[in-house]
Amino acid sequence: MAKYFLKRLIYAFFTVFIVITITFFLMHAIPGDPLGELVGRLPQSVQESYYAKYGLDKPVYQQYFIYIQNLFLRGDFGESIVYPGRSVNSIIARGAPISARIGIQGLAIGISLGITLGIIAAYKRGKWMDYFVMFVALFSISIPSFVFAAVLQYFLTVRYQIFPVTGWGTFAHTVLPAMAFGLRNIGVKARFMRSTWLDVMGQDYVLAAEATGMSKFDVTFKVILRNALTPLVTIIIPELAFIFVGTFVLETIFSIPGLGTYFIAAVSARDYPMIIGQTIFISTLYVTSMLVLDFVYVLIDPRVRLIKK
Amino acid sequence: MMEKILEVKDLNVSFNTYAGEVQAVRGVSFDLKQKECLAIVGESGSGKSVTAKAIIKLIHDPGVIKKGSSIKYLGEELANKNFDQMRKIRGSEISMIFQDALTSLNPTKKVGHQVAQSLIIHQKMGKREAFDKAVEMLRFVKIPNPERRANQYPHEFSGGMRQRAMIAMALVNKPNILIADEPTTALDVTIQAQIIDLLKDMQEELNTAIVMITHDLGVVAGSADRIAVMYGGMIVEQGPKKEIFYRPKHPYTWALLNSVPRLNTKSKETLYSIKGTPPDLIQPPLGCPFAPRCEFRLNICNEKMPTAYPIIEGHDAKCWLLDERAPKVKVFERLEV
Repeated sequence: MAKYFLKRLIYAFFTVFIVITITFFLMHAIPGDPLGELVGRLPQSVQESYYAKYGLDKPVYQQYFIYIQNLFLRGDFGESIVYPGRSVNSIIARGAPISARIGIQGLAIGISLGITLGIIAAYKRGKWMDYFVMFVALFSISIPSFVFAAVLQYFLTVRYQIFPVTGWGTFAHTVLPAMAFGLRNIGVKARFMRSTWLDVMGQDYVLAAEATGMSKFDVTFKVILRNALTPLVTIIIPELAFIFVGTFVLETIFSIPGLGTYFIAAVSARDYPMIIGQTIFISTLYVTSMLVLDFVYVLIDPRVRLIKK
Repeated sequence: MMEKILEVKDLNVSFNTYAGEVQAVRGVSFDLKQKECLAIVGESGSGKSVTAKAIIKLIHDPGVIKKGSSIKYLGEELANKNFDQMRKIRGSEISMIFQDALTSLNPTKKVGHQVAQSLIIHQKMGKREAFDKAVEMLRFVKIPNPERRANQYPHEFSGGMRQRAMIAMALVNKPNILIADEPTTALDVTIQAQIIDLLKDMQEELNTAIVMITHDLGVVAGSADRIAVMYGGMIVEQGPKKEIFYRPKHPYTWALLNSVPRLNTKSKETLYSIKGTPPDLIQPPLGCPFAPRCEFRLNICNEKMPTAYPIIEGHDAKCWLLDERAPKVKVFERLEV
């Protein structure tokens, strides 16, 4: 067992390493550089010292080795070019919790409502309730979150002044963006849960469980829910990595100082350390979530325990 | 004469689908006596499985057991019992095993706990005690190493062992009736024989009556006391095993027996098969459902379903050929199974 996970851990490490390498060289392969605009009209010597400051005067492969060295020895992502004097580490450390908060709240709304609606739809299959839930689900999937964000802003801040329009600081500030982020999730989860639930409900072992005299409650929660959980966990855990990414657009709309605001600025300014740093951050999270998924799988699905304990 | 423990009268089960009402079971009546094994045979779609599930009311939406159906267990009417009343009977008085034991065992629960389930429900046993009892039951159905096996999951079992575990699960409360819905279909032939033997042993030791649903006449020959032949949602002929095998009266039974491959069949000989397809049960035929495929069809067969003609005590068939006005037909030389 331990050997299996050690192997997975090594694979995960290599995956991240490859992502770093590819991102690094891709960024540098794009014509132009982050300093071009900034130093364009300055004298030659000043230009050169600028390039030297960020290490951009060296050949790309040397830059790569320096970067890797800094990253692995000191965990240092370097200094931002757009925001001089601030390290990428500090920007991520400040922005990530903010993005994650919206993401987690939104995901919580999406998962809880989505699963509940999905189960209701499954039990009421073919009835008006089912059609209604599926309509709402389709609706929520089709509407982009920024459209929904604007609608929420209009109704809940302009018409009825319940929540602040934009900004960050209190819980009230998090409600609208989380709702806008969660909406799409409701639809996705509801549809997923409905089909999973129906699939499990139709299994012979549910019938066999009923044939032993189990109560409806026990059949629902001990048999169906238990078995519907495996596919659900499979789709939820990888999403945890994307709670940082899904909120990028919403952060701009609601003026939230999360990762997204910095990331978008970094891409348009071709801020190498920022872009590479954030890419590493997110891909590491994703790879980690996959690793976690493997662990959780072993816990919840006995069929995955292939290796002798 | 032994006491009847199950009396099914005029059982009607329908499924409401988009295409219309599928009348899967249309007026099925049969009795089951103590310790008896009744085999219900028929091809796919004949309604035999639905009949089996209807006995313990495991018919789910969109299926309904229609009004007027009567299922009497020891004189007690089950047809109008609700889910919670049925729970007391399921797993304790009447149990059921299913065709594919792989899909009928919960993949996320240890086999021992699954067997213990009905003990906890019906005998209010504690978990530990029930589990120990489950291990005993697994030993009883001849699963080697039951202590270790009880702690394993269904996917760690072979097909035959799974079916044994299913049987253990169904019989742990020593029910009066076991409904076996094609218990051997998913198994290979040697394992089939073992499972049939096991069921017979269990029947002997626990005095359980069995309703065996199958399409395999070999299984029937090895296990049944009485046979009911189903076609198009109806029982077209029923009687003691010997009667059905040696003196069958319904053309469908003839055809069914004729389709069994024999050891003395010459290698170039074509296997017999019944031409045509079973009837559409959304618009079931007015007359005999087998009429369109019947070689001995009379004019009346398409118009009116005959009532059961008694042949001898306990053997009857629904066929116009048995009417005294019908022409005599010479059917067949001799059938061996």
